[in-house]
Amino acid sequence: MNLLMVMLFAPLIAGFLAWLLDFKVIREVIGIIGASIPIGVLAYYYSTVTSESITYSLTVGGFTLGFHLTMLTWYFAVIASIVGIAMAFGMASTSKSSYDWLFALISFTGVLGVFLSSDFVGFFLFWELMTFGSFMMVLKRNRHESLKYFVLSIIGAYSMLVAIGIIYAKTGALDFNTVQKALRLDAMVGSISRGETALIYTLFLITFGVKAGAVPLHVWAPGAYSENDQSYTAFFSGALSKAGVYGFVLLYILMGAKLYTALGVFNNHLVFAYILAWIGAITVVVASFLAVLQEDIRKLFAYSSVGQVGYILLGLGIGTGLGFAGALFHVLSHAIFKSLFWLVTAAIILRTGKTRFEDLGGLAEKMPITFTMGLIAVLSLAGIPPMAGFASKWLLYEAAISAHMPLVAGAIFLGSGLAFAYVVRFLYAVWFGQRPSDLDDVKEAPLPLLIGMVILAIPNLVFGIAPGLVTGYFNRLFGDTIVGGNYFRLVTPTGTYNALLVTVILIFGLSIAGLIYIYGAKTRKIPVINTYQSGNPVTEEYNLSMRKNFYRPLAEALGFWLKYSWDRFYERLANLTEDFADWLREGFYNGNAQSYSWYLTIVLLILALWGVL
Amino acid sequence: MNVQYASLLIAIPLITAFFVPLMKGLGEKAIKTYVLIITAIQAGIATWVFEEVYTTGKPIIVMAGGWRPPVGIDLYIGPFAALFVLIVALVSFLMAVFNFRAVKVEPIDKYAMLFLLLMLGATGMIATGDIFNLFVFMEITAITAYALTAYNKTGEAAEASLKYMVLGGIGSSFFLIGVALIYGATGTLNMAQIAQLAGNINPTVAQVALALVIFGLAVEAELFPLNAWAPDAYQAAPHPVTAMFSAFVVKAGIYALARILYLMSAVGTWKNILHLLIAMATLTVIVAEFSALRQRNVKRMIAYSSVSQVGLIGLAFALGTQAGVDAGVFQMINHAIIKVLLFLGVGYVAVQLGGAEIENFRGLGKRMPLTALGVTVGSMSAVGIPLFNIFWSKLRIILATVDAGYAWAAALVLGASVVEAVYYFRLVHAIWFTGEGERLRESAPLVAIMLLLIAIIVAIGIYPNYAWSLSQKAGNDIFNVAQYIKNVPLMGVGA
Amino acid sequence: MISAYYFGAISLVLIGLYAVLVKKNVLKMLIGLSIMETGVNLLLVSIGYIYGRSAPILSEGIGPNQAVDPIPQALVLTAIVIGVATTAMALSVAIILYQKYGTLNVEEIRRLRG
Repeated sequence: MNLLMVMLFAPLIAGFLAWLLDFKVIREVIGIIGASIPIGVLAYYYSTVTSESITYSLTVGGFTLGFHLTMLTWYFAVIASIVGIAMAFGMASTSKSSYDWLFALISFTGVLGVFLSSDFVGFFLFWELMTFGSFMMVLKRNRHESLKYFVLSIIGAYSMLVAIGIIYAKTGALDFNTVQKALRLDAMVGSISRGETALIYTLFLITFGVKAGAVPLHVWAPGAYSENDQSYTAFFSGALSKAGVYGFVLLYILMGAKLYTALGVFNNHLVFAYILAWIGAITVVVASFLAVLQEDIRKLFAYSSVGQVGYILLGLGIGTGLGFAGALFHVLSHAIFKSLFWLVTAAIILRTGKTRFEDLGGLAEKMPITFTMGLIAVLSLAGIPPMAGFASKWLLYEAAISAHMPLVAGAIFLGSGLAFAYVVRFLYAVWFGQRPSDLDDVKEAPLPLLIGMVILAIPNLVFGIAPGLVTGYFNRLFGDTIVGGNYFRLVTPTGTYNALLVTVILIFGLSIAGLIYIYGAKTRKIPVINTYQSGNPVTEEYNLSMRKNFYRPLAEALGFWLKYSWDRFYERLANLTEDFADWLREGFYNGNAQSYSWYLTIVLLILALWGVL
Repeated sequence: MNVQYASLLIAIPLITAFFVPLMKGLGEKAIKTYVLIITAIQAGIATWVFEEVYTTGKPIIVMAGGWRPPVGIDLYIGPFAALFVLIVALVSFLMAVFNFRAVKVEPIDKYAMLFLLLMLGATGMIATGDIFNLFVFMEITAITAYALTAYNKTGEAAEASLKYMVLGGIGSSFFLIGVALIYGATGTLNMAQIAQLAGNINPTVAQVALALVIFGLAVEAELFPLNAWAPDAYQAAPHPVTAMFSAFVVKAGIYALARILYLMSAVGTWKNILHLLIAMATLTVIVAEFSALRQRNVKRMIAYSSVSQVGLIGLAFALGTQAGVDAGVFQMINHAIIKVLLFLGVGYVAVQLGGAEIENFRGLGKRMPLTALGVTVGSMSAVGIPLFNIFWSKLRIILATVDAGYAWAAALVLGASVVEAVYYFRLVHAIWFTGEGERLRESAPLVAIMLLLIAIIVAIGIYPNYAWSLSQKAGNDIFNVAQYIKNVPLMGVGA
Repeated sequence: MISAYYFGAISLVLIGLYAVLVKKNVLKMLIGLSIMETGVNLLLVSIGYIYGRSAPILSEGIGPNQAVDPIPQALVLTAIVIGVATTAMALSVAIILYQKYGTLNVEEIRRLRG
């Protein structure tokens, strides 16, 4: 048995065993072991993969399923595996159900399979498996949200299937290598028409857009992320949504040349990439605004997750090497900080059972380690050096500027501002301020969950202080120096960022501030509300505090836009479909044997007419 | 053993069926056991035939009375027939086990006779090499099916039976006209010889004849809009019979359709018929999936789902390509397995809890966990989740459809499949995450059957190679008409 | 001459179909079905009919060349038997229907629908 297959199927088999042997501790141990195998195998392959790619193929049902571990797929697989193992530790604390283990680990295998597949059949198979696993996690908790997720995902998956079918019909191949060659050749020959290319592109855009949660296909995300075991959501939002991103990368690799020749150029930007960039930019802005307005931690991070993936799409859409580097780096940093957030959320929910900001507060004293982890995540998400989140956002920003896309860069900027607004609220409303009296006996998060958090916090710091580790890998991946510098310094055509220097300065500054705080500060007791109300009388119906309706003025300012909701649009569409189904069923199967005979006669008439014509 | 013994496949059920009334006095158990034994013997013979055909790679041609075709009527048991005769026998055997639980209405001896005749009819339709013989077997199947539909003696059962009969009657009349036209034009009823002569028929006559034959068979094959009888009959029939309808009766119809379609592929206007069939099959899938969406009765819902999946098979067969036919056969195998599982599970629930309404399925995961597991696996497979068998056949069909240039059909069918996912997962949700209840004792043999079927579903899902190679051989049997003609030792023609 | 048979046969089929499609009474619909079958049988026989020849019974002075095509006649015998079986079956169902629904109007026998 090949090691690649061991790594791919270990989570699946572990999940199945955990489901069968449904005993306490045993199932957790099996699950964690299964989830740790991939990262072990990937680490083992690190030195090999940088020089050559590892391939393996299986023949299943007349299809050849190919798998390849290249520098690109290794990168994505490692991200998924880090998040996966953190998820497993988290679940050991939060989930008591073998059902959860089964489907969580199935989706883990699915994600790995998507990254490793080197042909469309395997890609589609694991894509479906991944969707299925994650869907079952939601189905258990909320039927409505889960079906919303599944219907959108499956529409995506089937769009992809049609696109694959068209490609297969045109090129006769299903494996990436041949397809890539054939489409590159076709870019010159042009036997696939412009319309067909646009169709294929649109179909893939739907597929990957759904999974990545791009606006307007993001509506499943808030529900599916929040109605879930939050440890699993860490994986769901951190790794699974990256499958969509990977899909877009794949689209570039396979069809880039064809899309370029077929769809052309607009304002010096590739049209297909430009579309992607704008989708990304819109996603960033819309999702960030919505995130700011949420009153529930889970919903907040769900929208934030959508917005952050928007950054990645935007980076890919810029279409330059720097854009790619930024996007890929952001894949990593988003995976580690957002998963960390979800594990922190999992800890909060586990210990308090509450999810709304108004019910929380002052937890920093009670859960100090969790708080520290949350702080790291906040800093990374808000893009504050020296965290991984800053390095990747900085690269994206540089890329947008140097590609002359000021509006897109503006979206990044606006998104960052909004991100700051919502994480500040998270930081304050959950950890500081007055603690509601019913939270007085809250305990620190359990050990496995803390281990999971630490696994994710370390890379946030390491890749924040030494971002060159990642960009150096990209340089080798692209075979070109996209981002210069060394481990600690990033150099792009338009700027330089020295993470180490920033870190040192930051530590220095913090130490001074700490000294001042310890020796100089005098504490003064005031009611919490005072800081906000600025002395004005507060009425009950317009009581805005950090914990409740903090950004309500913003919501009122955006009132016009908030009237329109994609969510409601899809709901209405679903209802229309159901009504149509009823109409069709009752109209056609009306129960009258005579009507049925008429159907037969009509078909006969059609046959007769068509015979005459 | 002499391969001519394969005629026992027809002889045994026919003879034993007419012995059933003699056993009337022995009681219900004895009759059911008798049926069980006969189906077991049938399954044994079918296994032997299957072995024989697949090891030698040559079809078995049984010549009635030793006369060579076209004078004698022949049975042509090629790779396809061997495979499906086996499936028919095995499904009948499993349902014979289910009879012990599911069928309580008297007169049980009539039921047993009809049960065996239904098996016989389907076997005959699949195995025959003569087009009029096909008609006879089709009528045997249809009449026993009408009777079995009405067997429960409720108003609904009679109503469903009436609808089935009126539509089936119209269909078979026009089928017979088609056969008459073919006979008038070619002077033969032997399928191989018809295939040989098809190219020389007056194109108008050939087109009309083919259209009528297809029309008649499409009623049996449940193609839209000729399938209005199907949901009612499925719902009203006794549970084992419903499973048999879905697993092989409709398959026999669609096989006959495909067989005649390809035999007549030399007809000039053949492509037009394909277009028509593709349109019908696509509409079948769409209408049936939408109809299933808000169904309160689970048995009826699964009946609609069955209709839609048969539409998918029809689509695959109507593509006119080798890939399509292979995929269609693959889907036929998979669909037979999952629908037996689903109707078995749902039927068992209906027997235990007194009805197949969705309310009875709430909390099923707690009351009858193993049955619930069976229904769940069947549902997931039907939706096309990877690791279950339908995934592969659906994928094959879609690829073949797009490859044949019908991307629109593939897109529509997939769109309808989204609806399918919704209602199946609503069912799964109702089973596992709603309702409460005490655990009931589940019947060991039925649970064993369900676990067996689940194992097969997952086995094909994980390792479809064997099933796929069978489907390819069987598909080639239908698609490769030249080989078919060559295999049949026609008297005086060409030899 | 032969076209008269064809014409008659097709007319019978159409008359039968008319009854099935228009008559509300289940029994009349079933009669329509029977008429249709008869029409089809007539068509089958007339296809095998060769003008001026006798029945295909081998006897004194009638060899294969003097008789009409025997196969359609064999087919029709089978088809008639099948038709009888179907009709008998249908009539017994109609009895149950009348017992359970108290009517034979097809528009009121619509419990299974949708």
